[in-house]
Amino acid sequence: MNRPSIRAIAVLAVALAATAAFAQDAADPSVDVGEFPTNPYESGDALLSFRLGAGFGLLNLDFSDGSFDKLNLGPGAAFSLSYMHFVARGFAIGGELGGLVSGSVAGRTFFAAPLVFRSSWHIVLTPFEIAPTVAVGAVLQRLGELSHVDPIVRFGADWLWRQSADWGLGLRTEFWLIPQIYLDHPDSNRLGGFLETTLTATYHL
Amino acid sequence: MKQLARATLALSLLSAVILGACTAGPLGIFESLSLETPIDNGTKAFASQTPNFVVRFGSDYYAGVGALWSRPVTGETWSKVSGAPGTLALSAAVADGKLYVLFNDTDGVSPSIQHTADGTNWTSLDTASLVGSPLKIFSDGTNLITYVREVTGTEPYASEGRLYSSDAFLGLDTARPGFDVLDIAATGANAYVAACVWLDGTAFESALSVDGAVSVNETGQPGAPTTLRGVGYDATIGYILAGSDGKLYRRNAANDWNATTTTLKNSSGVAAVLSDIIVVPAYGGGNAVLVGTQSYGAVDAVGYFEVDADSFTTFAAATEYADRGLVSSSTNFQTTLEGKSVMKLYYDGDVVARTAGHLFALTGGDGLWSNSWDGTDWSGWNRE
Repeated sequence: MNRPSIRAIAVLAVALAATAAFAQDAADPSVDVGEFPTNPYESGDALLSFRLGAGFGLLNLDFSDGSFDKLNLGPGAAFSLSYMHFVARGFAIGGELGGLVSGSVAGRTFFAAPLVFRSSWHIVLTPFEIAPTVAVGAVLQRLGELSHVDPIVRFGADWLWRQSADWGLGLRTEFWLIPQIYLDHPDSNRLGGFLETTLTATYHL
Repeated sequence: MKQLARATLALSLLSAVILGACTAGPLGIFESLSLETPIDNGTKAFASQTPNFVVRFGSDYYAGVGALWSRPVTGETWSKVSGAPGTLALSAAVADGKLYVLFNDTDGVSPSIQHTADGTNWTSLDTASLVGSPLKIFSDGTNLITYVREVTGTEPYASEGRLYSSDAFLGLDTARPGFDVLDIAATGANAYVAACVWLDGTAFESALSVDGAVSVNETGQPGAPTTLRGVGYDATIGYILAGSDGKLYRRNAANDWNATTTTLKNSSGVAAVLSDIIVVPAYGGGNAVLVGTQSYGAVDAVGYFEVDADSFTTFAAATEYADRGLVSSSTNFQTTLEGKSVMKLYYDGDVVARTAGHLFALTGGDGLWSNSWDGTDWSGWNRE
């Protein structure tokens, strides 16, 4: 793995650790957030979010020998549409459909379309909001004539500014892990990793 | 809310099951990406072009991509040949120590054959003795071979074709209706075979010219609608001909032909229309037979096929090497020439004291590509 990739993962890890620390308090939705203003998200609320930004291929781990190879993808575009439903104060679950498109160094186009089940914890620090989130699902990938469907795990956080009671604007940073498994030729099994950084617009339904 | 969670989960699983039927291909996606090598943009003027020829003359390569271009054998940068006596270079051949180029528009004479011994000073050949217009030129290793077409009727259109040898234009064989020469391969010692077509009544059929003597309608020779579109030579195998029916042929003697049993097919399972054929060194030793394909009507091109030269021990049993590992990697092929029409192939195996070589692929509308051989490995395809 090249140095920029390692740095990016390190920065991401620090960011996630920080959000996870906040999430400790918010993980139990029955507990009031104390010094923070009352969490506006109650059971029955919902959020509809649109995201558009960049996606970066960072990780290509060869399961057969544990080596890291280049993913050979340039910066790409990432986008998604999600619907989240609050089942407790500050805690929501929902679904998301997204995409990531990136060009390879040899001129091919890589496309990934994840469809995931997502959960998120919403910590409100008026007028800001941090929402650590984890998602699991399936991702359809295509590269030239090759295509495959694999499981995907995504984790990261939304960093939002609550512009009004209805709208929140901000940034998502999220890491995608895609274990690519080929039962018929296991030498091709890999773990791919992507970083998504997207501008986010969230509407409080 | 449980309904939403169930619906999302079910949708994810359903899509995984449905989409799991997608073709995985011979390599994993991330594995294939890891094997990619950067593809250059190449010479801007060559993009989306159909090169007419590439030949080596002295220490330079010459290419007809619209105009006449050249670059040093050991260099990378192509430039238009200054002072070239024409703007459209149609065909070229190296013979008798000279570079011959067929231009179509020189000083109002169209077309004309020009030659140079130094790459700078050009001399026009007197083509007055030719019956018809020269359309292509070749080399038998020593002499210039010129294909000439004479228009014999306009309504309906009719033509006759002939071959001439040397720049004194010695006529070979008799003219045949609709005769056209698509490719020539030579042993390098004044011996050659040309893959040709001719009009037998109302149908175009294959014709074969052996040192100028044309053979048609022989037993075993492919008949209409199959034509011979390319020819290559290997000292062990002999002349190998590529047919429009996805098969390879060889003429051993009059009425004694071999044909491969296996039909080379495109990705749709249809017999590929083969174009040029060439024999080059292969990874791991031995030789590879490369067979170009071209889009023709509804038949899609697939770049080129690789056939292990050793499999020609029994000609009919020669089979495709599907892994594309003889002159390239699978990933390199997929990212370069796969799906493209490879109209011609040219190999120069004498770059550095016979320890390296350059292989060129001339595509139909996708520019000029090359691949270098260092005596052990191929570099992989990249744009010129």
